[in-house]
Amino acid sequence: MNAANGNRTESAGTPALEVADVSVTYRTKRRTVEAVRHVSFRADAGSVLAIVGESGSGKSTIVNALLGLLPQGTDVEGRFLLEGRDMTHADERDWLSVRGGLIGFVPQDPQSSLDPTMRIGDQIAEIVRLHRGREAGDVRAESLRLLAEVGIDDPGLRARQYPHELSGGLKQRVLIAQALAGDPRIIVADEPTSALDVTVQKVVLDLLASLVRRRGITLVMITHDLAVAADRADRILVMLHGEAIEQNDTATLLAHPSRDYTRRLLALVPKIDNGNGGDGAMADGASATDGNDGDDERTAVSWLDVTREYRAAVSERAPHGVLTAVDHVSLKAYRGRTLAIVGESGSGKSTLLSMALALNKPTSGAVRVLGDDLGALRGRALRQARRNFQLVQQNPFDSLDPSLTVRQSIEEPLRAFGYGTAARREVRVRELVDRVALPQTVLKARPGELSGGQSQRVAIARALAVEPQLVFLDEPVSALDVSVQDQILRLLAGLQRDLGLTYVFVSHNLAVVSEIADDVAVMCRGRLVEYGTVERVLRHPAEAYTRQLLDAIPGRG
Amino acid sequence: MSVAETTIAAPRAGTAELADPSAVRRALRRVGGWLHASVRYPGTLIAGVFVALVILAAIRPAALTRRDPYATAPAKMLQPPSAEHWFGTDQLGRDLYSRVVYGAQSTILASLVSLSIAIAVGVLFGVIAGYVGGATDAVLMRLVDVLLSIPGLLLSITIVTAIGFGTIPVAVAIGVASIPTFARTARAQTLRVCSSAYIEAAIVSGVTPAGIIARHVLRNVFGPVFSLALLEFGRVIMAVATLSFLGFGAKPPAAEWGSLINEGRSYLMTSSWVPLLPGLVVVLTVLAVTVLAARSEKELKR
Repeated sequence: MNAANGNRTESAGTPALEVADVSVTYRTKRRTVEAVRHVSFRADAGSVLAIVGESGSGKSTIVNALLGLLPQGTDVEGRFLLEGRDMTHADERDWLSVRGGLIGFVPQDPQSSLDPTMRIGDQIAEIVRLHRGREAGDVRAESLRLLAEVGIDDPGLRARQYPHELSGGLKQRVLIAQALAGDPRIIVADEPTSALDVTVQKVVLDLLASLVRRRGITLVMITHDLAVAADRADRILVMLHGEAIEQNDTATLLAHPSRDYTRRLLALVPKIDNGNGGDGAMADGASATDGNDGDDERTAVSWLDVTREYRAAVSERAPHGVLTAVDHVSLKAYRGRTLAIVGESGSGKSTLLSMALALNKPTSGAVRVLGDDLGALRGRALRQARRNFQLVQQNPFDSLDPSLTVRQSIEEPLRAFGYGTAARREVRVRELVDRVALPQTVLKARPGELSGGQSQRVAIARALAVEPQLVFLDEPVSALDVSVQDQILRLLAGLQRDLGLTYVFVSHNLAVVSEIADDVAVMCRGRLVEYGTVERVLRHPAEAYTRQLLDAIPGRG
Repeated sequence: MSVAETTIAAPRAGTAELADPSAVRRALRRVGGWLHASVRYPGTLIAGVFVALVILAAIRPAALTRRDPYATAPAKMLQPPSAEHWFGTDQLGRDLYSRVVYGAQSTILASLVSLSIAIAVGVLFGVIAGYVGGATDAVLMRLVDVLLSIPGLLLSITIVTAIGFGTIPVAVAIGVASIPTFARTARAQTLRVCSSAYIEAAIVSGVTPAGIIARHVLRNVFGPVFSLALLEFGRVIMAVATLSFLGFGAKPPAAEWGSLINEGRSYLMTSSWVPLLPGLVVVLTVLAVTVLAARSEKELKR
């Protein structure tokens, strides 16, 4: 099953990383899990290898094996070598000499990978001191140099700051700087950009690419995003259920994938193909502020010059201690159509959504949903109005109460709105479970037993329980694997057709939006930047920011 | 064309396949787990047996002893432990063993009453403070802080002095002194639960605030509170015994453990079994309860 090397010129000498027929088995009291089975691959010095796989494919296990971080009681068969050195059964002392100095690691989640109680400069200094030397002056100088090398502006200031004061992109760069501190020749990056906005992702990936070029580092990048791998890697290794099912250099793999799974992954990469989405009733794009005051029957939701301000510590985003999350936004969503609100973190899109859900009150302006001014409703009347609009949330694992069964979760809105007798509720719950293509046996299960896709379907069933006309969706697929995303999007499109629903969809992912939306509104830092039909905005973006978002999407061009 | 979904194990799932959700089977598995644990951890087994005996003594003392704990026999005073009197006799010739057995009743009863008061009031304060927030939270938590700032025993003694002596007043006093622990834990857990997405989902589903507290908050707060209650039980038993030792409990000739120790104090040097054996029973009970609590906490965590 070894793929040919393609057109690459052979690099002389030992490969930087070589994995030969490695199998990793976890043994716990309850059961034995074969996480990785007979995987072989290699990475030549100075190249970029991407390991692509979905959850449960074994890619994280490979990473832990390469860093000697597998838990006690794990069986490893086969061999793996770092720069020719056999580390398969190395003990902790051997690993100490290798970690940091030979192989560096960039972890996945910048939010939780930095010690929140230490300043940035001290965290880097700790590693520099381990690998380079003790002179305080030298250590400090080296730390600042590293921060500058990863493109952090004003290293002196940043070194004195704490992690919570930095944005996600900056934190990720700090993690890269930490990985470089030992001057390694191999860097393993575990999903280095999946927690970041798309424009920031591009910047971080560019940084990694330039480091590879400049320092001749071998980069092994783990990712679930085939588009990123296609853009940035020299070779791609595809993993499924613990096996390496295909590996080849990028051009060959993309042009001639030899396995069905690879073909499926390639097909599923959401592409901006200019408006596949929705079966909206209206052909032309109405302007965002069309018929400003008059809400006719076509309008499902209107945000009328809405502003939301928060008190915050004085910072760049909040001069004078006021953070303007939403800044005088006027927007409409039309019945029967899907409006996508797109933006990066901090754009205000989630705040807009929560105002339309009456979970948040605007500082000024009004929000009308299906004719009702939400600001005027309270208590019972507000609860009654909620029958018409429901919500599907982002995190499928957190949106269901772990102490309730699926049946109880779906039944909850029915009980809250006093829907008939227990028997009628039971019938309705079964009907809903069918609609979202889940088996009836799922009713007895608890959320902890379900997968991400199954949980999200349950959340959709719950949202549809009281027959709302309008469904708000807050990044409903961003926490799911690519193959599951596609299924959920198709389910949502089908439901819209069958039930005549209106969707308001918040997302940071333009590619997903192009598949399902009719109209799109682009938000940046609280302001509405651009609005129009999906065809128009994605094909002929009028604003520079929209163009920037489109350009940053990996896999374009 | 339908594609089998890659089963993504949720972060908390312990099994890869859809577990059999039947409640009966789950309960059986739990019991089986406990039995298994008791075989692997003999200390837990012994503790369990001991606590079971104590509870039996509290419910049906007659099952463990045939003698009358109040029957005095001055001729037989201060006899050391023997086959006839397992714990010997006290200064009035009463059988000490049966006094200890009958004493379990009031001690355990008082402990359960205090724990119930502490949990009921503490969780109420904590959940409301955590859910409503703002000024309500501040006021409730400052009240709790006041209770916390007074040393527990001193607070209990003050309350008992105010409301009168006896087993139930002791229970109330210790219950009140134990409120802060539960209030704080309940509040912290409520804050955690309220930041979850499913609370937002419940609001959007039209559930009233009361409904959210009853259905979502209380259920998810229950686990940590239960663990805490088990650990506190041992401490409360000790506190009840202490107060009755100090004389605030039931009047003689009632056979509370603490007062047994108190009565026997004077005979410590000459007939040491009189105070020491009841004391030993108290210590062993607290120890056994704590061992069980620690073991169940470990099992629950899995």
